[in-house]
Amino acid sequence: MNSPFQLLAAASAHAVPASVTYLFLGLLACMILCLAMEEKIHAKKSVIVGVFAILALFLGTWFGLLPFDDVGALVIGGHAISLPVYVPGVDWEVIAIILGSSLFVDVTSKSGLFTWVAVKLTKLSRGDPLRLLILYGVMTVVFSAVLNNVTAMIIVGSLTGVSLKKLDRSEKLLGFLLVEGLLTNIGGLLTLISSVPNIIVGKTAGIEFIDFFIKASPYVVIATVVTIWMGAKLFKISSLKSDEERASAKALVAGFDENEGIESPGFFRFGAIMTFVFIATVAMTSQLPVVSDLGLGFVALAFAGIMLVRYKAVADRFYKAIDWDLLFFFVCLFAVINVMEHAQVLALIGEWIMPILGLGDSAGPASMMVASAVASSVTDNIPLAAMLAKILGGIPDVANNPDSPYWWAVIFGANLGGNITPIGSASTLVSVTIIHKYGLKLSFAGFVKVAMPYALIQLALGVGYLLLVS
Amino acid sequence: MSSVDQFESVFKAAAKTIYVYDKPSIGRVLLATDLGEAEAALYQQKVRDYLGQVLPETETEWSLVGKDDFESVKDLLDRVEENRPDLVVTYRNLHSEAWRWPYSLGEYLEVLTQVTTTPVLVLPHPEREDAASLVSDPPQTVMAVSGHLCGEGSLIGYSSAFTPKGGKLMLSHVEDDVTLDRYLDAIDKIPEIDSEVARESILSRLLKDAKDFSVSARDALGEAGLGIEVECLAKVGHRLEDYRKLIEEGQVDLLVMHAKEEDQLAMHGMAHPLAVELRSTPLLLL
Repeated sequence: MNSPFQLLAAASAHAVPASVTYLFLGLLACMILCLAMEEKIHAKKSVIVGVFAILALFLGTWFGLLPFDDVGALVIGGHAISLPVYVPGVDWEVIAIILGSSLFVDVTSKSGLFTWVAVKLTKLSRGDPLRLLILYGVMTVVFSAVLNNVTAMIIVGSLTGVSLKKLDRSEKLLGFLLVEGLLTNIGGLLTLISSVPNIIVGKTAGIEFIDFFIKASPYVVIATVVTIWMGAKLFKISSLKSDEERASAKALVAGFDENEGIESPGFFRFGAIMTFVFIATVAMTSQLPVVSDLGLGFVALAFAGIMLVRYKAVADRFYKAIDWDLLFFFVCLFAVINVMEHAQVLALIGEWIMPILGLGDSAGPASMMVASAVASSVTDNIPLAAMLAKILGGIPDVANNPDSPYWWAVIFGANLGGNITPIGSASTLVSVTIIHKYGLKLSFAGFVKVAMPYALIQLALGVGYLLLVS
Repeated sequence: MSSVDQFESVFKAAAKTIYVYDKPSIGRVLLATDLGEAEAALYQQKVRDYLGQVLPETETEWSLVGKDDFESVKDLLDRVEENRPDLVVTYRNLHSEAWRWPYSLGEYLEVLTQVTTTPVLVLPHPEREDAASLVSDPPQTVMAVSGHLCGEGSLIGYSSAFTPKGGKLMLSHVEDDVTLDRYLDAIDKIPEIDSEVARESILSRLLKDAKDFSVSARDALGEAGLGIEVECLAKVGHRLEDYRKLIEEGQVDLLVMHAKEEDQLAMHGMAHPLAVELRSTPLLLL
């Protein structure tokens, strides 16, 4: 009987010599290694993956692996269309979601909505450190879920620096920033569009937004409570003891003006309404007529377009602010993964992870989650998620079942792995950047040492939760 | 500019300094004069009348240091140390004829304002022809001259203490246009910075911080029930000239400003030129 990965390999149009497959596997390994050493080699992700995409496409063409005949004679809606061979391999829906939602968040943030919420919560804490940690922790999770984890870390992290300085509690900054950094990856698990691995894996698996939220939210709540509790204990963040301390702290945070970032009250209200409508529309995309055909990418781009009307004369400012490095990274990554598929590399890796799937319904997903987390901790979780999504999508039993625990194992592993090392996710990297910005010392090893207990408990909770619900 | 910096700027702007009203205690007042005994007593009465509304007789203990009580700066400092007053009242160019020329404050006043922590009320020289009229009516309009305004709580506290009920307190802040232009010229030459955006943003930010603090001071003084009118003025201009104009237009009776600077021995920024030139306006130097 053929294994699922032999079926996957058979799906490719032509046989590939093993030596060629191993050559491309080496190329993929080099790319992942370079991504892991991104900081050391001082190169942007898009450039690293772009170079490997050029090499992969060149070698793929050289070895005759790429389907030039197919893409040269595409018939779409009765029209013959010729596309470059590297275009169909790109998941444009994912690109549209990322581009649209980042534009939407960027324009909406100009309304002052997110800073208003952040400052309001600061005042609500009345300057009490423990209450501040809880509120900032919850805010990090919610912002990570609604916006994205990098933007959430930037907003909450920069506010934390300012508010703790104002409260004369700068010695607690490291604890706050670290806990917030770890919570971004927890919040990143809450919805289908909260993190890129969720989008890639969720879309491949066919998981609906609402189903994703219902399944992920109990874990997110538990992991958030545990992480904040551990943060308070390990960093000795406690409530203020005396009435004098409380009165002084309350007076200090009372100076915060939540309206400072609001340029126009009208646009502020519009931004708030649009944010709620955006979330509701994303949640109901699959149920809404017309919109369900156009998909999440359309929803994200359409909402970005509506928000841009407010800044129609200076819309180019927002285009300049788009993270082009991230977008080009995705485009090139999809191109590389596509070539790897044609070179049978994914089928080969699939064969290697077969023993994990063979461990059974409990140990299999658990091992997959831990393996994904470990892999995500040392390199970018996006290529890993893209590759594993492609591999799992080739297994009929898993591909046809959006509830398969393997999808969730990859989603949980790819997100939580970011909490093991500072390079494991973009948001923890932002948290470390802010830590260094404030002159606090935290090395790579120092981060791992401090973050490991959190990461282990979060992973253990994740494994337990996954086994419980699957 | 990174996103972290952008959001940090928004939050720093949101973290405003708020004025908290703290009434200064002025129970002991020392009058230092170079007049003879009889003249000094008369002069003291005039000063007590002048300040009667803000320093009620029943709550204020007055002491006098006259011509024969000090012959040197050290003597005067010793008298101040002995009396430990909450306020010293004096005038420019003690034991000197230099008061006739508007170029100095005199060694006594210059040292006194820097060495002691006690506020010094500087009145017009009693031998001026118009001296009697300048301190005949109690001050009604008081102007606080600030370097930054933001965070200068004691300046507002003393200014409000010297503003009688029903009087007017002007919280003023003039950003020096010469210094500002120099920085903006430098910005104009940096290609990475949008000069127009920088000009507008810096100007509005500088004045907004001062205005916001003034507004919080107005609210706090209102809540304290002092019964005074508070006006906030923040502008960019040539500071000495603009202050002169503001004083004339506002018919200011008393000017309050900081005289000490933490990192220098000389008098605080604008305090020296204002104190030297505005010889007909009483000044409270903190």
